[in-house]
Amino acid sequence: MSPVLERRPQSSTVMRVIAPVIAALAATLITLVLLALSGKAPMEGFYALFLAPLATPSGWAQVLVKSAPLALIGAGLVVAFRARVWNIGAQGQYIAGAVAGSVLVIYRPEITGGWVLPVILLLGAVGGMVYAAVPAWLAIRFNANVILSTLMLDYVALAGLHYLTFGPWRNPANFGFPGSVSFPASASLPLLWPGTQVDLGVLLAFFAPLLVWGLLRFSLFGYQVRVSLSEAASVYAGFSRARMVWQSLLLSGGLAGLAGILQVAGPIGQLQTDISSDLGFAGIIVAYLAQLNPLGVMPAALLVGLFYVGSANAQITLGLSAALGELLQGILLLALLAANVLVHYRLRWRQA
Amino acid sequence: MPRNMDRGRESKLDKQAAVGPPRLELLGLSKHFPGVKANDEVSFEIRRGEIHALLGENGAGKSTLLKMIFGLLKPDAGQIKWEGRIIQIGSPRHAQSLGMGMVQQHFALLESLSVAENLALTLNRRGRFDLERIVHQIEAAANEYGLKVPARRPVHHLSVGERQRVEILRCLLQEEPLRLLILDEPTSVLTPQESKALFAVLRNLAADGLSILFVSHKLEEVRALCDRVTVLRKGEVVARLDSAKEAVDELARLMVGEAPPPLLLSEKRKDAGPVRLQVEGLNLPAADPHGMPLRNINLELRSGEILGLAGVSGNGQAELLAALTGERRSPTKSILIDGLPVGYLDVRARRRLGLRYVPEERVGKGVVPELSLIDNGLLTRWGRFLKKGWMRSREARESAWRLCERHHVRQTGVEHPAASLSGGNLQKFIMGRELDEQPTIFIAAQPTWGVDVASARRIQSQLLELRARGAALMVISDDLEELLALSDRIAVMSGGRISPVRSIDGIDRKELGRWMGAGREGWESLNDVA
Repeated sequence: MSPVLERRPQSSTVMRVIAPVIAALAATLITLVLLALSGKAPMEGFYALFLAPLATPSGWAQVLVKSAPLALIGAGLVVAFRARVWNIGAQGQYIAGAVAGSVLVIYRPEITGGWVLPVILLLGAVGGMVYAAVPAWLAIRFNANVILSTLMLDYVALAGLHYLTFGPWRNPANFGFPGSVSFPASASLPLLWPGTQVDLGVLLAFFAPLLVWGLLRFSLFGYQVRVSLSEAASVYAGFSRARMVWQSLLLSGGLAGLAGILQVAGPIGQLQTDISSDLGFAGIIVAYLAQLNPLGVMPAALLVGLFYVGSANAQITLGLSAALGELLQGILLLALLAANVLVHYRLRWRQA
Repeated sequence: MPRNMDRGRESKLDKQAAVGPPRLELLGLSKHFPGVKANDEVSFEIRRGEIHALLGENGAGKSTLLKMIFGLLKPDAGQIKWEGRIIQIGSPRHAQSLGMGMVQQHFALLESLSVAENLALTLNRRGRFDLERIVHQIEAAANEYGLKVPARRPVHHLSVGERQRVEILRCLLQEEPLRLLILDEPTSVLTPQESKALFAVLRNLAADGLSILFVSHKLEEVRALCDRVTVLRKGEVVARLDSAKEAVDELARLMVGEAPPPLLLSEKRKDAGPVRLQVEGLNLPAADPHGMPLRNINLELRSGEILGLAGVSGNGQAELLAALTGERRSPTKSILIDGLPVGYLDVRARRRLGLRYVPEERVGKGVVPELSLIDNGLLTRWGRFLKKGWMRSREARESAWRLCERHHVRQTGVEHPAASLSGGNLQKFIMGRELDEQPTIFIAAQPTWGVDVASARRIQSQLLELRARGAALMVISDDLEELLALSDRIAVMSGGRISPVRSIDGIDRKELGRWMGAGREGWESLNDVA
């Protein structure tokens, strides 16, 4: 008897929901094996990675704070990927948003007023959009490959951030260390959960997937995204591919930019060289873990956020490598892609 | 008859008398797919030197059967016997090594390479790459089998008929001597003259002992060419006839299950009304290297009239449709709707002027297969279901329901994806969606291709009804019979040009056939007066 993959007559909805769970279980199993192989006690490692963060309220708070930008970025990327616009530039758009939102504070460090925070957030979103407009224009005008242009612009943004935080925007009072001035109170997100870093930004971020769900389900834009599954049908329907590329890049770029400024105006408090922009890539994993469904973005973001917090925790308590967190995410993505096969195929045992 | 020896090689065909075990025997072959029985206990045999027809309408299970014979699919039940021995055909390579060859509807030729280079890809498995040897083989085959093909010419310069001959040559020149040649709907891409030439070649080959399996749904050809017929309907063998000379009606009845309903010709054709759409001197370069440029296209679509555009697929029909519908922009004044220059208008703008169309590609363009029927029902009329940028989902659902009811579209629920619809129902859905919008100019490309007879009749009746209501229609089809039944005037598209337009009364089929083969040299080369 040998196993055989047989195509299902209809994609299984049940599997669509279970596949991420299977993937998560497989990823944790592989992690345990790796832990054992590297000489650490697997069960302790498992506890430190996945359970310790959930054991205390402050752990939960950390997970929420880490998941918020993932939910924002993931929601935007769900739209882009559904429209087959492969935006790999969330990292660059995140940085652009952080930079754009910081402009006001850099040049007017003592600024006050209730209007400051909303304007900064708006600037952040716009910054992300403008940065995403570049690959959009390149794609439409020159047929440039979106994957390549967005990816390359990530490095440009990283370099730009490095330059700004070491150069013109460096706070002179920092004793030579890179980084901008700290954001004043008027430009900082109010805390919602005292004693933690859970702020208004976290609340905003978790609304994003819901808004995106509504957009995709009920609006004309959402209909266009659905139809863009087929290029020829989009032409037949009278939809412009160029418009779809613009709109999806601007939307996902804007949400990534907003995530960037929310981090800077929130937990980080200043524009630094490292503002966790690698969240832009984790956002891709979140989008796929959510099966490109906006409703799945929240649980997916929480899971990946948990992986982040857990691996940071394991570094401290067990001395595990810092790269472990990234390794986990990669394994999770691979496991998910493999588990997704079961959505379209079922496993049968055949007589050899 | 003297044989031309190709450097000492034997003639490739087995010249055995028509005795001994049958070349191919199918015993109780069955194949199931989720939800459908594609083939159910199919049994028949093909003798040596026989031209055997596999007759069946679209959806009868012919393709699945061919795939099993050629090793592309494994049968769920039943046996295949090759020259008396039971065998399992594991792959097309295995089938070829037994002596089978297949010419499919869609050719596997690389356009930028020459004929010899294309054949070298599959024939030169062992040894050095020797193009000259292939060229010699091709020329020898030309003499031996009457299959003339210019060996060094690049394929994109060849007509479709010539390309098909290259595919047949590929089978004849393969390593293992060819014993069974399978042709899948070969004449769907040929002009009438090319079909005749093909039949002559096939009869020659069969006389030498080659067995031929001729798969078709065209009754006249089967009667003209074939010895015995196996009729397939809904996956089962419904008849095995010893002579193909049965009356057309009887064959049709066997294929469909009852006499096909006659085409309802509405009351006698009224005189055509005013010109609704006009094309004047349209020249359009090819959109890509393998496309067809449009040259000096002139035509008129008049109210209450159907203009039929005949011609083999690939002669510019797709490019013309793209230009007429707005998918591709043209010089402004070259296309006029009700006298207004509209060449620069896009698809949506022309729809607002009353122009609607049904494209040739149903799945993937006419509908998005993964989306529900509700979503697909809006595809070309989503503007009507918008309220301030938001889609009205309840109205959309009801509209999809009514569409299916009105046009007899059999489905399992409008929330289900369009991919769940059969070919005929899908086309009824698409046609219904367009017709319900009361178009004043309507273009249909290959409206009944691959559709079962009952649905095809319904669609053709709808076209006639639309004409009776005063719309201006154009039907593009490679089915000449269909065009002759529906059109008021008819023209032929060939090589990116349109022939002179003729009224259907007193039409000369031979002239049409000649025009279909005219190609790029134009009608002048045929000394036809416009």
